[in-house]
Amino acid sequence: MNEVIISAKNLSIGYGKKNILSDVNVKVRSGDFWFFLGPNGSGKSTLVKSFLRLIKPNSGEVIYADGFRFEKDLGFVPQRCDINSTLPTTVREFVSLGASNMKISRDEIEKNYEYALECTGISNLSKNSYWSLSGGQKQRALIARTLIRKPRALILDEPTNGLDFLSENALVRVIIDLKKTQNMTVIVVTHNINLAARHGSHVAMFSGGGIISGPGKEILNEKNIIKTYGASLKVKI
Amino acid sequence: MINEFILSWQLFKYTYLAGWSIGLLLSLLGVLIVARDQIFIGAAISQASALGISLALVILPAVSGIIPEYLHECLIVAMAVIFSIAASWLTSNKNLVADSHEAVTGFVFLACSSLSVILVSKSPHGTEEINRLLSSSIIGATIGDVSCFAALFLVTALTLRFLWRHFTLIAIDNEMAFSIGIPTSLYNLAFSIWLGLALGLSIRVSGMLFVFGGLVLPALAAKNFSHDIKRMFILSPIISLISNILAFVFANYYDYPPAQISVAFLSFILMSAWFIKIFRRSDG
Repeated sequence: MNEVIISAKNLSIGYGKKNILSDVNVKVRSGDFWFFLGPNGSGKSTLVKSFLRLIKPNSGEVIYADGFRFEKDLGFVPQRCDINSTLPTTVREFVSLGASNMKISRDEIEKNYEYALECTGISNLSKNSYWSLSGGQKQRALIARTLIRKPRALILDEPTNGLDFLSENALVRVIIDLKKTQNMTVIVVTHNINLAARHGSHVAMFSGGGIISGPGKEILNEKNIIKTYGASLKVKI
Repeated sequence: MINEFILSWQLFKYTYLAGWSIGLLLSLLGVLIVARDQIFIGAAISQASALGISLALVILPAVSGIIPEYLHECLIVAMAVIFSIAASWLTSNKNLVADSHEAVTGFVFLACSSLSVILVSKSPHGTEEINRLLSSSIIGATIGDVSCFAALFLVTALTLRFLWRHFTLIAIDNEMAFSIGIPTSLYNLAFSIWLGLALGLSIRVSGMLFVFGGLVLPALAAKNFSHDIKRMFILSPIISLISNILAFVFANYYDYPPAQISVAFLSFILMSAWFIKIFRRSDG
């Protein structure tokens, strides 16, 4: 069994003293492909934020594996980047900003940069303005900005939200390739149950201030889907 | 025109040098203000600084027996800086007040504008001082002012030379910056203090118009001439310096107030940048 790299132990989190999630226990192992599913406001992003130490737990704890350097080894791709839209920036600059605070040589940063662009399939767009990119390409640039740090685990917050069908497919391909070729641990926050059923090794379903989690095949059943969404949904694999 | 300027050098060299140094300093800080899309913070901090000066002018008669006269100026400067730093911190700390940046900035601007005038309204000298700050005049700068602003500019330039990526990432994506281990609260606090210090000291020497104009106009012009943020850090001080040199030469020859001419020149450069951008867009 692979090493546990992030685990939530009896974790209760929320904003202020009010808990959004209570008594959560999850173990993310190296190489897992997790999908966090649930309706809006069910606490998916809140759990991710606690993994990123953006919010402190009200009780319980988030534990990282020995030697897991959270700043370097855990990459986060937000749903979108609310950058001032009149600010000029190129794909190169935007992606390179992800390498801030890394204590490595310029040559290594350059290698990481090429790796990040190659993994996301935007090598040809390096000199383009960030603002000339389509929605799907911007999302790939966001992923590249995280990949430049060569993280061991990647968390993506609703990465396909707002994308058209073709862009969504292309982006999903990028994520799956990352998982396969780099054996990266991936956590995807999404509403797309079919995507989770098709590709996820593990699934966490959020509802009522708690989560049900485990291997995808065990968790994605009609009972849990009804409990999470309040309706039965047909899962297409 | 150049000859006239050279002839005036002996008399106004500290004014010119202080003006250029202030311009260089503010143009660098302005890039981060523009990147954060918080342009009116400059106006709000300027007004807060004026409030600090007003308060100092009210306090001074009461404490003139206690504080030696040579420290009076220090008290005024200290109050300007303290109020600037407080305003800078308040307007950039979104967790402090449950409202938007714009709302807090607007509040600071309006509250400080009204209070600074109310406080000195019964004092003829106080009103004169506030009017001087509002109208902007850099004539009368000393060698101390030149050294101070040159040092502040050098420290700012050196800091940004090594940490521009950190400051830029924090300005455009604070959460990402935090998640990769950059101590964002510390950086934001340091920036607030430095901005407050720079603006508070500058306003006392050059007035609000010159300071607010020097903070945002070169950075806005640089934004329109650049294709990335890094270039804005280079272009903004260049635009500021060229514009201020031309403005001072022009103002000296035609006997216009230099601060107002400088802001007018910078506005013209920004307007030109917009037109060039529009033409490029219609061509391409």
